[in-house]
Order: sequence, then C-alpha cells, then structure tokens
Amino acid sequence: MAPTAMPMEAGLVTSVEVAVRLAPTRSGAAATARSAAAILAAHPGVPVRLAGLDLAGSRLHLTLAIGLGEVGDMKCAGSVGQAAVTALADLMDQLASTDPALVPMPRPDAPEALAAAAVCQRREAEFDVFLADLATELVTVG
Amino acid sequence: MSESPDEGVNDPRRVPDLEVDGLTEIDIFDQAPVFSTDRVFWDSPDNFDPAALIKDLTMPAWSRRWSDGLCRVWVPEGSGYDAREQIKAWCAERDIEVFNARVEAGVPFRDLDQIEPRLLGGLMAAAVDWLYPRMGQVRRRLVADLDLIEDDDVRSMMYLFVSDVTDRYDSDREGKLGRVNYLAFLIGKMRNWPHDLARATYGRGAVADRLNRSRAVDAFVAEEHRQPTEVELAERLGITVTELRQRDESLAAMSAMRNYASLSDEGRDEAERFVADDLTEDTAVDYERSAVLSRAIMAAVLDGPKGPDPMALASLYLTYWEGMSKADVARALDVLPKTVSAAVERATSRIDPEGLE
Repeated sequence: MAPTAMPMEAGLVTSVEVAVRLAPTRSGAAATARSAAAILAAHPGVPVRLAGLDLAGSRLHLTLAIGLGEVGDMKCAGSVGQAAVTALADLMDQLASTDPALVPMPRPDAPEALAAAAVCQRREAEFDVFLADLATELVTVG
Repeated sequence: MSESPDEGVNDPRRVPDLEVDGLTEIDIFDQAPVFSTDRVFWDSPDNFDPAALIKDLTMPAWSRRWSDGLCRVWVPEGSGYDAREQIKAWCAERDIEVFNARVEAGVPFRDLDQIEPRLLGGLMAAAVDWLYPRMGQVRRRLVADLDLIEDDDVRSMMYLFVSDVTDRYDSDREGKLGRVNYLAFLIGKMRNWPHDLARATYGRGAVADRLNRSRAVDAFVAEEHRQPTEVELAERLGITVTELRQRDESLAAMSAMRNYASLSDEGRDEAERFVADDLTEDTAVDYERSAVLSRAIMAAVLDGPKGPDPMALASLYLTYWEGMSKADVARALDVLPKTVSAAVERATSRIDPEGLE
C-alpha cells in the first residue's frame, strides 16, 4: 500500500505497512489463525492488523498488514522495523504450508477489506488474542 | 454506455462487462463471431490500402487498418503462406513495395465491420472511459519513455490502441474468474503497450541499452554511494568509453531519460488489481510461485548488512507490489531516489536464484 499517514501531535508522520496473505485451506484455517497468533505474540512490539478476509475456492485468504514503523525509524533500521521484518520472516517460515506471500494491500473498499473491518470492529483484545478468537470462530463456522 | 449491473461489479477481482445502449458486450460481439485465422502483415513505403487486393486473392480475406501503419490481411487458418505469396505477386505487378512480409498462424480474428459502427464505437469509448483513469502507470510510462508524447495525448492513443487490438479479442476464452471479458483482455494487452511502443519507436537495441545502462548505474550507486564516472560505467557494461559515449548520444537523441526506470516491466496498474494474472494459470501454481518469491525476498531482507533491513523491504514492496515508481517511493519515504535504488539493489543482490527455481 502507499505509505499511511498517521496523525500525530507534531504533524503527520508517515508509516509503511506491508501485506502478507496466508492462504490455508478452509479446514486448516483455524489452526493457521492460532499459529499466526502465537507467532505474533512472540513479537509484541510489531504493529499488526487484519487487512483482508476472503474465501477463494478451497482457500481462505487471511491478509495481515504488518507495520514497518515510521519512516524515520525505518531509515536507520530501527527496532520496530527490524522486529517487523523478523516477524514477517517467522510467519513465512513457520506457516509455509499456507503459501504465505506478499500481496498488494487490499483497498479499503474491497470486499475482503470490508469483511476484515467488520470482524475487527468486534475486536477488543490484543491482536494475538483476537486472532486466536477468530480461529475459534472459524472452527465453529467451519 | 454503462457497466452491466449484474455481473462482477462487486467482485474486486473481476472487471465489469460493458453495455452500450442496453446491449451487453456479449450481444455486441456476437454480431461478429471470432474465428481462427492466419494473419499476413508487412511494411510498405507506398500509401496503399491492403483492402484493395482482397478481392483478387483466391481465398476469403479480411483487412483492417491499424494505427501503426503496417498492412494486415487475415485469411482462413492454413492459407497464410499461400496468401503471402499471392500478396507479394499482386504488389509486384503494381510496383508496390513489400518489406518483411510475415505470417502469424492461428490468431483469433473477428470482422469488426460486421458490428454496427455505433455500437462498436460506443463499446470502445466505454472501455477507454473505464481504463483511462485506472491505467496511471501505463500512461506515465508512455509519457516518460516516448518523446513528444504528453499526458494529453494518451487518451486518444489509448483509443487507437483499443481499436487496434479489438479484432483479436476472443470472447470464448475462459480464465480463473470465468469468461475473459473485454476489459480484462484489454488490460492484459496494455501491460506491454509502452514497452512495445518504445521498441517500435527506438528499436530493440536502444531500449535494451537504456535498461542495461540504468541497471549498471543503480548497481554502482548502491555499492559506491556516488555516480559512476564514464570509465567506471563503461567497465561495468563491458564496453569501451567510446562505445559508451556513442550509446549515450543515441539515448540522448531518443529521449531525455526523464524516467529510465519506467522501462521496467514491473509494477501494476490499479486496473490490474481487478484481474488475475493472465487468467488462465493454475491457481495452486500461482500460490506456490508467489510464496517462493516472497520467501526468497524475505530471506534477502532478513540478511541485511546491519541485520533485518526494513528500508529494503519497504522499497521493494512499494515498487513491485504497489506499482509505485522509484521517484514516488522516494517521495513517500522522504529519501533520495538513489537511496531507494540502493535499498532495492541491496536486497535483490542477495536473493538466491536457486531458491526461486
């Protein structure tokens, strides 16, 4: 996605997010969400949000937006950016069976983004807890 | 003219079908069914309309003028080479010069003359109306790569392009998202349009020189953090300084190199979000290929000179996944374009090609 402008007290600070799509089969969706939650829990400082949720044939597309931090921090390979890269690499390594891939950020008005937003509205807990909850829901629905 | 309300409008991966005066594009194209042909095409310096020779050929034939000025005749599949000889003989009898006559066998063709002109014109106009605001990268590349073309020219050029390729549209073709509709077909064709046009205008060699030069400069800047001298650049390209100067003169003549990176084939337009890549590839292979590429990139980014390299990942992602130009990425990240080049080079140079096989 194009860098996101986040309103800050001192003006606008630009941050960058990258989207990674996990594509488990429907039957493996809940386990994948649980695993993703566990992996992300090991990287507590990394900004993550659910950017897309979609069904495509036999696969569920679970698109996570990982924040690389503010541009200023990124330029000097700051801790948030480095932790984000590590978290992404961990997701790709440990969830290789779900064909994780970098994808363009879903547009906010795309159905997959709207579906994700609808789910996120119910989110009250931390992201990893939320993802685990989502996994439980998926099991129930599945 | 409007988009069909009942198909694909709400599906982000499928472009809409078009309608003209209440008729869908399927109804309109049904007026001229597609069939398989051989295409004979050639250059001629003479101002000559190939439609004039069609009635003298021994096989059924069709002709249509394209904006590139080449002469084209379509004949039933299997008779292309016979038609080419007849065309050469016909032209020779009339002192019409024929250069580089070629045959392309088995190409889809529909005789657009059979379609009511009002509907055909409306359909092409509707397609351009939809595509023009969504093909920003193609427009930028055309303006950047071709001298004398300004953004104001691109809309009419796009209409001519659409007019040229419409006779090739095969509405029976199936893709991952069902029937490949007219807009999806045009988006696919438009991906290579700027590159093909640059090659046609300047020649393959010049375009390749331009790409190689820009890559060599990028690589040098990434390593040395400064622009190369002529000697260093020539050495990197494996040519002499004299040859480098000659090439530079040619390049300077053909373009001010306003945005040499635009000749890269990477990046996608907004419209391309709507269609799956070529629409025919096997889904499982797509998943695997994307995953392998992403893993290779992440491995390279993780192994940066100072550990994980978020700047390289951001530069790569914005360039190749979000289709932003190098200048746009630099502006967005508030860095110099050469910093973006260096970041991309840092990561791509560490990608293990064996990991991509």
